[in-house]
Amino acid sequence: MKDRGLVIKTSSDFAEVEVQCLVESCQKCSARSLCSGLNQSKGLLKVKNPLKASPGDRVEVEIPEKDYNKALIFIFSTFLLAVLLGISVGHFSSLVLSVSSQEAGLVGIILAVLLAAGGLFRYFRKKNKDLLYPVIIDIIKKGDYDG
Amino acid sequence: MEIIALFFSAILINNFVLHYFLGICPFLGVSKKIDSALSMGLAVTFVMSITAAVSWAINHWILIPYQLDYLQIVSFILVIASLVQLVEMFIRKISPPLYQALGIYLPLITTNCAIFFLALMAALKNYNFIETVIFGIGSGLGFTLAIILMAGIREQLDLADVPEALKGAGISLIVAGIMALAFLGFSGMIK
Repeated sequence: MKDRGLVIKTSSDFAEVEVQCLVESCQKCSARSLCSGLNQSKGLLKVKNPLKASPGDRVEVEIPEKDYNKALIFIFSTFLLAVLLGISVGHFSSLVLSVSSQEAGLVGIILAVLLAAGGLFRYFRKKNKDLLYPVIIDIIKKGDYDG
Repeated sequence: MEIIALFFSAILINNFVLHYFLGICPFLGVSKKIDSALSMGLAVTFVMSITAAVSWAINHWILIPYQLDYLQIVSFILVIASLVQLVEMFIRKISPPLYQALGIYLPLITTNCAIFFLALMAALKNYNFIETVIFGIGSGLGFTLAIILMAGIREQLDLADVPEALKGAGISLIVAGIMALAFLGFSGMIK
């Protein structure tokens, strides 16, 4: 998905760009201003700046929405598998250890989810962190500010 | 056997979206593309399964023994909001760009009435722990199935010649209604 925005600030390889919306589903949403993600960051998006755009420039930004979806599917399916695994291990271990299946199941779920969270944390730290950042692909109009 | 029946009935017969018409906001809002529908469905399924487990524990170990049943609604809302906050914090930690792109996703999960209904329904039906979690996972998968089917149809609808007056929400609601009618066909499957 592509979006247009105004460069507000630059720092090393990144720039902060004010954009209209981050996901396609939100484009025509009348409640967009209430959305927490946009509200908290005032519509500012940290993007990679390979074209060395300066503050005041109007730029076109490519947002890797497909990669976001893939990452979200990966994260939540891992968590879901962890829940299933946790409850199964908890339930069957309750038959061996003489504890109630409720307690064992709950402990199993919590432990499995924590383990999955740790695994995902390590995976995403190893992976190139810059991969999911949006990129400036075009400078539409140079701003007046040149400092 | 009962657990399997409960699981499949939560997916097909008592589908939260198509039977109870709950969770319509994300169902209509994030069903434009199959990819985003799948990620939303999985997110809701995960939050539903954890909500089911935690709310069962709170209900059976704190609220019922101390006769605090009247706090069910408040405590379930708190559980759902806390879980979504935890997910949000986790995603912020592992991938800041993903977090800044999430936008409407997390608020849509927090305010998803289907999740709240799940916690209340499980308490009302007095399910045991395993039944509650299976019911949660089944309901989440039912939501995922409905939203993916809807996304598939809406992707096709983009190419169809829809009358001007019906474009957008109109045709989406008609499709949802026809899907609900189709799902009624499953109602005789499990007694």
